[in-house]
Amino acid sequence: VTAPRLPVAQQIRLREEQLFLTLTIIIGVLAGLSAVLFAIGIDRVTHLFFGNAPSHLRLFIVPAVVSVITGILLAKVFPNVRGSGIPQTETAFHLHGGRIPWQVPVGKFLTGVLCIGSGHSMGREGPSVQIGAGLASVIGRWLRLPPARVKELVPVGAAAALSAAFNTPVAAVLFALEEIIGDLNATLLGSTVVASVTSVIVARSILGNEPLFHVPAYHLEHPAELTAYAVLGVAGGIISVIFCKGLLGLRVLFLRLPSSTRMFQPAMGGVAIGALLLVAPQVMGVGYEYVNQALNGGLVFKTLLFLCLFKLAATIISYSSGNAGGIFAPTLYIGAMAGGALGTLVHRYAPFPTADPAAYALVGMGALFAGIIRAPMTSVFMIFEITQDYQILVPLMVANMLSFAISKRYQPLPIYHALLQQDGIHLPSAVPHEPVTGWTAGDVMNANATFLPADASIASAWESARTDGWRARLVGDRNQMVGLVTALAVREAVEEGRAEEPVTTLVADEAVHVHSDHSQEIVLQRLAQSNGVLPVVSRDAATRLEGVITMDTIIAAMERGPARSNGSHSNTP
Amino acid sequence: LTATSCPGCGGTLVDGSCPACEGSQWRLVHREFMLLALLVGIAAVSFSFTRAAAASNRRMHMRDAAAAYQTGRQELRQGDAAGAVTALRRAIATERDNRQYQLALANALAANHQDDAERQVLLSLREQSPEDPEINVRLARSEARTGSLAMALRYYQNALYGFWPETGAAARRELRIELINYLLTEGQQGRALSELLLLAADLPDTAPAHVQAARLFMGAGDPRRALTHFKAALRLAPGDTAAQSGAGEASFQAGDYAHAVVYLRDANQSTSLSELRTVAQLVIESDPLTRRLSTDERTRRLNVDLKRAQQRLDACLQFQTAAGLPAGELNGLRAELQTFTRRAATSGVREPLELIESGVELIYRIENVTSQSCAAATLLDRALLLIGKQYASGQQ
Repeated sequence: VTAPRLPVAQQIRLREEQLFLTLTIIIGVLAGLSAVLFAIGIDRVTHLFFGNAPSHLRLFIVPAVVSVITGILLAKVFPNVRGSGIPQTETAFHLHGGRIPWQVPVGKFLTGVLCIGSGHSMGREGPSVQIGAGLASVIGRWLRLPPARVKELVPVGAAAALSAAFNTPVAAVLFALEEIIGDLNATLLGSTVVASVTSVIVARSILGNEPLFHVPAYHLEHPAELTAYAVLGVAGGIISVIFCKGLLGLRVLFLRLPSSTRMFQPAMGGVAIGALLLVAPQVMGVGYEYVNQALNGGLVFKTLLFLCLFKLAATIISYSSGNAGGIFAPTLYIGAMAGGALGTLVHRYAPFPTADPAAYALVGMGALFAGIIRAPMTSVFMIFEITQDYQILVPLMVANMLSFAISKRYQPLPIYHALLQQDGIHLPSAVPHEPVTGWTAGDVMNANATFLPADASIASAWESARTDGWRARLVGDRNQMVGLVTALAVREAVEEGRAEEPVTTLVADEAVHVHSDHSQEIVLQRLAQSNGVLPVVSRDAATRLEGVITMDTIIAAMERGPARSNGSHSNTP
Repeated sequence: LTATSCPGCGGTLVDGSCPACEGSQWRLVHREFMLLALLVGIAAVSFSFTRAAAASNRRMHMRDAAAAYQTGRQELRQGDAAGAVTALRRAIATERDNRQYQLALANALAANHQDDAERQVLLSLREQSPEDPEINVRLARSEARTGSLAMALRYYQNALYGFWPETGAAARRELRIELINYLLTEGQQGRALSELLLLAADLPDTAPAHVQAARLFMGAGDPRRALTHFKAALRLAPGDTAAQSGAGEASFQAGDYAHAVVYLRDANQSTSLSELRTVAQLVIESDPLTRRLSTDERTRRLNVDLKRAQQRLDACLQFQTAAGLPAGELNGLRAELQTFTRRAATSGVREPLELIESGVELIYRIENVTSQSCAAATLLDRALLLIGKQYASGQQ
């Protein structure tokens, strides 16, 4: 019997590529529109709350009061839309197969408009990226696309949104590849370019062909000026490190507060921001008008320095207190102010002819972006797209690379990944290109693990160690792992007379662990650093245990048969 | 499944094909088409909505910018330049290409002594319209304030040769006058004279215009051309006192003392003009080399002049000696004067003209040296100096 021919199914298969292309264009349009609407929404809300010349009372009250409302929304209704949105988008892409619930773009739009519009020092690009990626994911699932295709739509939506938000289509594509996908050689280049171009066409047809920043023509006045740009790169690196450490440090403090205070944390930040706005209202919101002023020589040295410091402080407070908004725009703001300030000094005191301080402000933006966001290629192309001036490239690259190197040296983990790690999420930062050899952590782990209860005392732990003879044991339970204790530490605590204390006091803050996609090299390396028991935790939540690896589990797996790797392993922490 | 059932959906095969399966696939395709069509519809509606929202937002910003502009202007009028700068920058943040706002900001920046920032604003405006006279003039004034002569001249020239409206001839002339005044202030008499010649070619035939041009010529050191314009002004307005006194002054500067006396006699006499007329009168009355004089009269005038020169020299020597200052040159002149007096006494009237010329030349040197090293000269001293100068320049 001849099997029936299914011409329609074949047609569908043939049409899948065309469907994806069509969808890419539609997503480009919708993501672009969402980014434009988001910017307009922020404008409207800012105008509504502050008017043209806000009184001191308004400056203080508005951020605090609105943050109470956004705090409730962020805690009760839209819990996944705090912060920038870029780390969450990366998480969705790498760990959730591109699945972003419909509540995320809706919630991000609403809370983002309220937070930024009420004066919090945050950017609109990160939220735009999350909204664009969210729309793409929702549409992909609505059309019942295969999961792999839904995942591919996430960076497409992200690039499209960023392209419209920043009016830099090339930089947006690079950002999607460099930051979201983490691979400049990604096969999604074509789709992201199509979506990005579509989006920017839509945005320009609505907002006009105006660049986001108006910059004067740039000239390198003297070769020795490159040394000044190098100094700017070093300064940019140092400021980047201060910003990252400050933001992560303060965020940890907020995270350590009881979970019942989570709803009020944005309001705490709002009060602090209100106080800052009384002194420096210029740091309110996105602040691109002041960046434009710095880029056109409209600010004097003292103002530049003052705004640099206040914007840095305001952004750290706004972000770490859990409000919804990005750090993209504040990074550019701080960079422009720092660069402008340094440029003013160079222009005044350098023994050689120099460009206007505005040129330094421009390079400063790139340097801070490279140092904080850690996307150096995006940074170079972004500034190039803004200026459309080839001459700026050399000083820009000098400053960017120095800033990037210094930031990487003193803050090894990029800010978005560090933020995710604080939330217990560990992302792979690079996609492997070489075929997998050997096994992965998932192949050799034992899914059955024995735990000490989190409320156990040190005395009972010691009793357990003596009875069962373990050298190291996990504390907590499968879904809420606290960490790992060693028998040696338990015995020492008993000898010190701390037998009645809870065993959790012996758990180290940072336990060595692996993820199930880690390669055998990383597993063996980390096992050597551990106490003989290596927890395998979920990338999605570092407290959720998937299994444990010991030398015994590895040997048992080897004895069972050949490695079962499925080819998707990661080389990253 | 039997051989007649479809492996895809289990439906019945008809001539090797499965209608049920195809139906479900078509339904899937239809659903996708419907959803895509719906998405396109959503995109179109969203586009229209966003466009309307953007237009409304733009209008709101324009209103804000206009309000900020008005605030800025008001603050500038009230003398709060810093406040005006802030307000106007707010206006420009929205209406970046609004020329009116930009110019107001430039004014506020200038009032706030932010010359560099003012120049930046003007330069960005100039990038948009390099031929705009107003922007170039403002840039020229800004450069002039900071002492950059070359740049100021460049912008003044750009303004003068920019795109002027048909009704802008008067404004253009005023601008050229402003440039001439600037050049004169900067000591650029030659350049000022070039501009003055262009101005004169384009001058309306009215008395005030001629008087203005004439005064500028006087400032540029060209009293003859100044006199021409003063005369033109007097032709158009015979009773014009400014033109009358100006003509007198110009005649005096040009060495035409006879006409100077006539013009200054009829002019409204201020102290300085009165002095000028007296000096001119003294020049006429004391010059021993004036044509058509008898030998006796020449000799008489020379003697009077020599006597005055001697008095002036003696007084000056006395002053120098009392002050303990070196008086070598004055002593030399005194000895020369004594020699000349003896020579005049012995020569009689054999070579009167040559002797008189030598006397005038000696008097000129005495008056010249004493005017530099001693107290203020009398009107006669000034007249003697002018007579000598006239003679010396004639010799050259």
